[in-house]
Amino acid sequence: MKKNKWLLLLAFVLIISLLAACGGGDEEEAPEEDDETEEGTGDDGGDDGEETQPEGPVYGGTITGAMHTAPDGQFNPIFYETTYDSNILSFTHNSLLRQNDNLEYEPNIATEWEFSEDNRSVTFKLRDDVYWHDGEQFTADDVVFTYRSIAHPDYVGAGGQRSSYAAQLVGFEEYRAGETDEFPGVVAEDDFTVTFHYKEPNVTALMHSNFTPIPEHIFADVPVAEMPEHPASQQAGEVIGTGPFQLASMIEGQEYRLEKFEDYWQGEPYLDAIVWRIVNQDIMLSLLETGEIDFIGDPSGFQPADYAMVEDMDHITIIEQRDFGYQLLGFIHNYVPEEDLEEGVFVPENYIENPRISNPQVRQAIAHAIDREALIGDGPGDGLLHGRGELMNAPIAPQFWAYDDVNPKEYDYNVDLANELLDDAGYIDVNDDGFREDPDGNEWVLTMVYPSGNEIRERSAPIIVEDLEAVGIKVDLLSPFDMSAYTGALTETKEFDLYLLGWSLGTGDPDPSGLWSADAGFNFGRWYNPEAEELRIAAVTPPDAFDQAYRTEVYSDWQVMFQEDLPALILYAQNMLFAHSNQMQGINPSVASFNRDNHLWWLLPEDN
Amino acid sequence: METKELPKEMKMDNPQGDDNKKIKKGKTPFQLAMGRFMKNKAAVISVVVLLLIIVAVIAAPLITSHDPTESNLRNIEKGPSSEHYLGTDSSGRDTFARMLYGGRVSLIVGFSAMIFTLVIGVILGSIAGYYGGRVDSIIMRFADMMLILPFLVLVLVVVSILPKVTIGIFVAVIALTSWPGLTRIVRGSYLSLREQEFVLGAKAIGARDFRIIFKHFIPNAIGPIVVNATLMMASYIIAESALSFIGFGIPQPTPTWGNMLSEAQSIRILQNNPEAWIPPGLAILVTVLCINFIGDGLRDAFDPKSSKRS
Repeated sequence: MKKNKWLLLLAFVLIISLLAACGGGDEEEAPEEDDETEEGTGDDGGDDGEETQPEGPVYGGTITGAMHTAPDGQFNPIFYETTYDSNILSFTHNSLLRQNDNLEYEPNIATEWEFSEDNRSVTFKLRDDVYWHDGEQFTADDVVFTYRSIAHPDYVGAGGQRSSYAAQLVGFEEYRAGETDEFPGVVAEDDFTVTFHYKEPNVTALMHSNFTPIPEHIFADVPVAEMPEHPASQQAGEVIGTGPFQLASMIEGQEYRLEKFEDYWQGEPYLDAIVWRIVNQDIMLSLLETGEIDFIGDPSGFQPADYAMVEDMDHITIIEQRDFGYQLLGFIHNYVPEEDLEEGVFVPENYIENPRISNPQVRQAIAHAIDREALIGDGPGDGLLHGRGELMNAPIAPQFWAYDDVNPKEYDYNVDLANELLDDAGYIDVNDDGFREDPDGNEWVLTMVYPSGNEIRERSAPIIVEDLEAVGIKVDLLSPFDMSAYTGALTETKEFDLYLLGWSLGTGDPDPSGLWSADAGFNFGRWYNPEAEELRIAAVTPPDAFDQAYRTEVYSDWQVMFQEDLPALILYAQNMLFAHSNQMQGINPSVASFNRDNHLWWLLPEDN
Repeated sequence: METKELPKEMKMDNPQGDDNKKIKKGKTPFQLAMGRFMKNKAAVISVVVLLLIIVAVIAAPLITSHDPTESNLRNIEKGPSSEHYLGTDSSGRDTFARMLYGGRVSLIVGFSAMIFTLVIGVILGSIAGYYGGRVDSIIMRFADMMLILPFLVLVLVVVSILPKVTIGIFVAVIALTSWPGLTRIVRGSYLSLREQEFVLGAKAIGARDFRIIFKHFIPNAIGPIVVNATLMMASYIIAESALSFIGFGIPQPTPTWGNMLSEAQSIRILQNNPEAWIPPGLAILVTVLCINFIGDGLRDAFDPKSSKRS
């Protein structure tokens, strides 16, 4: 390392002179990777079966973690939007249930639950020893209040995006329309018993009733429309949850300090405090090396290319696990007509077909033309992911029982087959310019777009273009979009054909409706395949859907159809790479988060 | 300075062709300037180095057989070898080829933006400086308005709005945002020239405005114009590098020295692969230094009063 110091110095001189020379250098915008988190799950909470070290955990100590993008500062579980806020909330709040490594639900602050015979209701027994950070006891009324807030007429207008949690409850429409003050969907039977009543037998009732509660005694007098701006949603010291840590102080955009909550229901957390620092991804590793930060965890971990470097740090432990999401190359099947855009609705029957890639053979040819394995690579020093990722052939997280890794078609890299498919489809180079023309002999150019932020995804864009040009497809690659402008552009523009995007998936249920139903906002390709729709709906339609084997079967068919029709080609799932110092003990990540059981984290005393 | 230029005006009106000996003795101001320039070692060496760089980037296809945009994911971040003189970057593209072709882009951007600015600046400056009055106020107020807009921020905004940034657009954006500086310089020179006797003379014999501007004003203001244009070219090359470095310049896979440097944002490449970023960094450094030395040399040559730094 020493001999490289002068290089480092030289680099800094060069960079600084560059920036200084052009008059007030601009800070690089910190990459924003997982903005498209589908939904956060308050998936921390406790586990009684902790593994004990020989010496045993000790109390005390402060650790520092790093995020590359600052939270928006919305620390209300029913209103937060970004994965960075959720990173704070996973320390400060608890949800009723938690999920184990097989994604089965387990008790958390609810101890047990029971379905009624008609499967329309589910009753939860709550713990009677759970307290909010300000000392008030957590009761069934808080749960009722939370769902009333989500279903409130003003909720969506105030920026809330989680109505879907309440939408299937009895009386939701009437209550949301403001016709009545009664919301019979959630009822507190007594202080520690709460029952959810669904309009129909609900296959995903546990997921829908597992929303993180907010404190009624704080928000009771706050109109829902003003809740997002209320200090208890935004300010350090005012945010109240039931989690093991409370947000004690913050310097907005720089540092967020969480201090332990001594009366936590699973026992006093070992650590005194956890500090989140917001630092650029590029300097995280040097901070880790010097010990200025103790861990790199959610939401992005560190980069695969840096693996060897982190491995060389003697005081650091690496945790590698499968991502709970994927990166994709989407095909824009349809466009939303102007009238529907104005009204803000997605009506699949009105979609306008995109003729440039409407032929499934063309999409399949594209899928065969892209060398996905090269993107992932075989190992260190190979590919964009240095071997730290996996192929996926269906858009359901492989950690779920519903993922089918056998039947959906796998598109291997096969240039000859791609050429053949395109020739068959009538896309032939008639004017000898090296690129294929469409079947009518007109110029055929596909417009591809991608967002900035995820460095590996950005680098993959020109490589994918190269792969496509190798089979004679002319691609117009636009400059990367800022993530905030990207989703809007995807929805409204009618010139795009291919798009890159990544999804982090929810752990609640494998149901892909949020991303791939024909009328889902996130279905940017506006994929509308009536048969696939039928399957997707059948998979959550009672009574058959209460049988998991049946759902598995239907989802398998749906995944096969997905791969056949290709609303998107799943490019890869990049492994999550977490790193923490050896001083940090008791780390027990879940399949989707580093933050699980953070009340059990502890710090080896310095002299060890 | 203006009094020194007077003989030139007189000479031009002097139709004798057999005056060679006389002229040899009394060189034209331009020749005098060139003489002074040639005595400036730093400037002359800079011209030679810059010419070498220009030849190298023009002859890129002869020097390397690699395509600078062709990636090879099976061969990334490799060190120097006989196949890849400077190794490959993180997408498996040949760094040496990218150096050469990237130099093309960087120099083209710098040079064409400079020419573009020059055209706008000289035209607007001439109009404002020569006609004065209301035209002058309008143009100069507009220039002031452009001047208060922070260049880099403006370029960032424009570049992020545009769906696709090409070299042409990039040049236009730079030029359209940085013309006021040159315009003011041109206008300033004209204001003092306007009061000179030879201009009055030219007007008196009925020369058209166009002729006066081109025959009398521009040659007399050429010094500051050339000097500033040269220095501007250097700053444009840096601007392009800086914007590409932070990801707002010419997008990949088109190579430029700036977006090659952006590889070094990763601490790993910074430490382990110096061959990936030192060459483009040095290339920018050397090119910009050369251009600045040439600019300084030109200024000293055109304006002898400022050159006497003992």
